[in-house]
Amino acid sequence: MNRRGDASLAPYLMVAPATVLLLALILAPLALVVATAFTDWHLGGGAAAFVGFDTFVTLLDEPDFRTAVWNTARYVVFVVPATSVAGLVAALLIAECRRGQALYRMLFFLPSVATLAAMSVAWQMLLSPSVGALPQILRLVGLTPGNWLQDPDRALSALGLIGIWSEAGFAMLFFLAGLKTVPAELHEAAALDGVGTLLDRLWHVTLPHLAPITAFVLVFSSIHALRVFDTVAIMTRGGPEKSTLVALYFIYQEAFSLFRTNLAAAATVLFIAAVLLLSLLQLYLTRARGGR
Amino acid sequence: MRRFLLPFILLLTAVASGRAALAVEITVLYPQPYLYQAPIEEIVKAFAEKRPDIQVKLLAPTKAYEETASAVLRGAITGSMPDVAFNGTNLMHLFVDRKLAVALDGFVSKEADWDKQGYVPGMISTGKVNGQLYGLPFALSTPILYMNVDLLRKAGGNPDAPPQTWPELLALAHKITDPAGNTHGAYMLWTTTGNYLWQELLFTHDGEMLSADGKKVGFDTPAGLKTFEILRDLVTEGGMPNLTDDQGTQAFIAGQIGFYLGSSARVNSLMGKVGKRFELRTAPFPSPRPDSKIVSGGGTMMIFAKDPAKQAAAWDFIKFAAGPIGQTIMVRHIGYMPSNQIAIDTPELLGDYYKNNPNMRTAISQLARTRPWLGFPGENSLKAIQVIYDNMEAVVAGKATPEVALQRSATQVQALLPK
Repeated sequence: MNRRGDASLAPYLMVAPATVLLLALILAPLALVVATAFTDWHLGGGAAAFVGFDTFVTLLDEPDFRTAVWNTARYVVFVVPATSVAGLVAALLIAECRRGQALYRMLFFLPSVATLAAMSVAWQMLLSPSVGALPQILRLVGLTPGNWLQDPDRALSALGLIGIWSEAGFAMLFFLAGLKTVPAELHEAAALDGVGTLLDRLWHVTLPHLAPITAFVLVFSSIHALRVFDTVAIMTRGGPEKSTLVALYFIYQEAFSLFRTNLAAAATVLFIAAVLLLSLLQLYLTRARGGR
Repeated sequence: MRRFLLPFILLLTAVASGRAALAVEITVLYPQPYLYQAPIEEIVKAFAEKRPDIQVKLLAPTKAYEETASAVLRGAITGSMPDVAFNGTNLMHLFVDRKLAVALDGFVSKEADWDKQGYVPGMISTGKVNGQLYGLPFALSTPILYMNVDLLRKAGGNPDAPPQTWPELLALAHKITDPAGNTHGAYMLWTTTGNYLWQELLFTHDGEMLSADGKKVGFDTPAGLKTFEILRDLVTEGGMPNLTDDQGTQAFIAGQIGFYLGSSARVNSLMGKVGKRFELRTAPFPSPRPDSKIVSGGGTMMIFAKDPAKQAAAWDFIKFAAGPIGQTIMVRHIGYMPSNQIAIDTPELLGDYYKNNPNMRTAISQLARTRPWLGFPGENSLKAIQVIYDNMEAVVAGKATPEVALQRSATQVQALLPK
């Protein structure tokens, strides 16, 4: 065997393991999900029959699906801006910190590292109307706490706040990195030009510089918010009165408690399309930045 | 040395091959280990003593009935179904519709003295789907009434003559309800999986889930309306708070609820948790007549083995678990209703146990009236159950009248039935 032949084969051999894994673990299952969405197949059922877009028609007719899409949209619109603002504020405060920067960074980032499922159990206890810490504190200061997770008007907001709590640290990390790239000269020049107050400099110097990273944070928090599941599955199971039925929980329920596999597959296809769209947007924003 | 070794090895191989040729291994999957693990392990041990030729291998249990179902259905694709699975009775349709479950009528007809083995016919009928037997009951329950006797007495009720009908119960519940004192007249566990309590309300009023030919919704009747009316009355007259299952149960244990309506499966755990806080007594579920039908369901044992030898071994195992010894072990551990009359009547099995535990007797006093906890047919079976659940929730929350809830349930379920 000659040396040149080896060299031309080597790259393929090197990517082979990754390719095989990608095919077996992601692309092939994805193809199966897409295929299932166009059949009448149910888990454990016999041969599947092709039914075209029938499953999608049933899905779009399903009131629960519409509720899930609507709730997910409300959740994203509530959580994403708040996560970004909270992350930005935390980053700005920490960047100005002279002492204990590392400590604060860790404290704010902790919720993002913790397993959300375990945290959901903890939150459930904290919010429990009779024995929870939060209602008891509220009662101490003379307020009347509600049974938030059992209140159809409040449950989604409660989950949203927990979502913000768990995601803001992540956003903060990106903003901190972004702040490091703001050149000190710009601030000095702005000060010389008479842009005096801290707030003015924030508005005219820091924020414009952070715009690209902000776009990135918005997109990834949207993707994360779309994927909300743990808190719902553990704390509310989509209730009360479907007020916290979100996209992923709907898919989970259809697939694993109602066993309507094809419907779950169709919903998954739409869900992946939505995430893909957001990812493309992210790619576009990154490219646009690079081209500037 | 050598002289000893050779015969020893020969003996070992003989034993090993003999075992392999004789012992049939069957795999068994069950849910809810917090309830079922102890009794099932003891039953397997007792069975092994009687039948050394069958090796029962317990698979890692799943959390809930739905997960066992899901594991069996996945196994159908990968060719790895358990030989026996403990399924929720209302989920049996899933396996029958997909032609995965083995019908048991053939095994029954081969039993020489089936009538004399003590299996209670009403209870065995909970294992039937489309007229054929697919499951033997392991642990069944029926809804019963739990009473806080202290609250009942205060409201002028007589615990020795508990309310038997809904008007009687609601009137007492109304008197018990005292928002200022944080006491509520009644709480029904309407959230229980598979519309269990809704079916109880329907069946006690002689209602049917499906039409006689099984093709149409059958609850679009006065009996069907009654189910939602009682739910509404429980809220408006009986003071039923809108709580989750756990919250309602905690409130009853804390002594804040007069009547608690739910599965008899909770007797053991409630008696333990209530302790001496108040006097807890059980009574039959309220119904228009003392002989009204009542729903019964729980865990049922189904066979999925394909190999005839394994099927036969599986049948012997589930028969044992549903038999006098199996049922005695089950009742002593978790207090569900036994489905075997011999177990109930024999003093050293369960006879004495029931004599000493009057609260446990309520459920078996309803034994003769049972009819199965059903699922809807077809692939949308569980979705139909969810639809009814949603409408019950709307009535309890005061967002729908019983009439609207019934009408919506009927139309939506009809659309989900097989065409």
